[in-house]
Amino acid sequence: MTCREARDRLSDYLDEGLNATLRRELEQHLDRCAACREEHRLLAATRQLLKTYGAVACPVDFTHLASRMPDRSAARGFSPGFRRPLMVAAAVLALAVGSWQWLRPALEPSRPDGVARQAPRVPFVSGRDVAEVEDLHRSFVVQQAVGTRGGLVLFAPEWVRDGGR
Amino acid sequence: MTEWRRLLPGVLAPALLLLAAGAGRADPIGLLRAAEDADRRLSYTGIQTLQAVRGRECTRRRVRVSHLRPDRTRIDYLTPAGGDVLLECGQRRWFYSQRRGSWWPIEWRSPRSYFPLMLQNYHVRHDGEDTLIGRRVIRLAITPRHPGNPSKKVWIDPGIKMVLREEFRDSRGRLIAASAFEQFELARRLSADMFEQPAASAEAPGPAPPPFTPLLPRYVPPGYQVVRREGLRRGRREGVYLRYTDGLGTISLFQFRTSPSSGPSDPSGRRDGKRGHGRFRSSGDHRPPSRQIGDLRCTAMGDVAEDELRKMLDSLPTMRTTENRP
Repeated sequence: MTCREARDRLSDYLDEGLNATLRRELEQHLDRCAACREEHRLLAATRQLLKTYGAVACPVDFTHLASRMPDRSAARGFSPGFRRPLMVAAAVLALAVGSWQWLRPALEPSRPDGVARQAPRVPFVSGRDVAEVEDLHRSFVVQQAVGTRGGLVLFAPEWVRDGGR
Repeated sequence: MTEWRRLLPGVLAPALLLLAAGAGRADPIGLLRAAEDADRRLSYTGIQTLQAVRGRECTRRRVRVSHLRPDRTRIDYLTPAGGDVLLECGQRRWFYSQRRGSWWPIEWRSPRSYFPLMLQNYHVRHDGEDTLIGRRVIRLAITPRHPGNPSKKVWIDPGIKMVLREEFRDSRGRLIAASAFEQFELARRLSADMFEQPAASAEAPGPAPPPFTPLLPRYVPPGYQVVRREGLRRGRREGVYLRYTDGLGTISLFQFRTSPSSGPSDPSGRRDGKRGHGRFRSSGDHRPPSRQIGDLRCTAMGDVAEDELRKMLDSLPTMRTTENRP
């Protein structure tokens, strides 16, 4: 796993949203890469900090707005040496807020037979996206063996545990 | 004549009894077909255990099933994850994760029935009678016409024509999957609240179309035919998944596009050759047969002998690159 791939997956990792293989690969990478380990520590700390402030609403067009922000490289009032860490911190904070809001499950039924009435966004689980190809074959086998529902009963918890988001 | 009249009941009664006994077991195919349709006819509740085995690994679920005919089912997981719920409403399905505290729409497309195909390739015969959870059941054996394919046993309550137990075994007789009801009763009334659909705005998308035209093998083991093809994505790589069945047995053929830089890789998307994390990951170092054809990595898995899978792969046409193909 490269540093870029590792950093792309840090948010998922913190949300326990990676499947076992990716989790293991990422942890191995973190073991040997000090820079990514630091990135992980920083992201985890930022998220921990955010939790203490409660939920922060993230505008749906946040990315769009961010991309239209004018270039502030010539901003006055900050020395270059001071500006860079601040920008990194702001970027990490923005990433954390965005990831947090994006990944947080939107539906939270209070009881098994009760169903949330408001559903701004529902996480999606697809066996195709989550299971390894061998599991796909096994699900096909089991589906033939004990019926469609039987296969689903056996596999659905794995899908959600390994990759549901 | 008087003599004949006196003997008639004595002759007829055993004959009728034999006929009646035979009638109960005369049509195993009809009984199996009716059992396939049980969910449309019956509402019921029960506790069911399901398991899937591979090598030394066994996945087992114990669930409470509540079914409201024709197409609503609620599955409450009892073990290993109590509190989880699976909900089926027609063709839509959701999973409630107790740990995550949320509902998830799940893509799971019901296959069409392969019953006619199964009859072409398997024998269905009466195999005896048993008593299960206090019910008299008929045991049917489904055995392959072509060697090397799996077999199945099914226990059906002939009164309500409902499967109460089934076992699926490979050609060596090893258990692959099984299900059995520990408790079962017909339900006169089930609350509709139990099956209330989550207010999910997001729909699970259907299967992706193949990103390129897959290679089709010229050889397919006897009785098998392709029943499904769909697109796959493993990380940044795309591929096609072809499913073959003979009605009961299965063959999966994966074709992944490999870039020149990535080189041949295994279908789990790992270049180090390690197997995926799959719950049903095979034990040991055994790897399914693969072939590199042009820029496609083709891998076959299935219930048939490995020689058959290799023969299938060897029959794939050589090809030009898939890069610019539809």
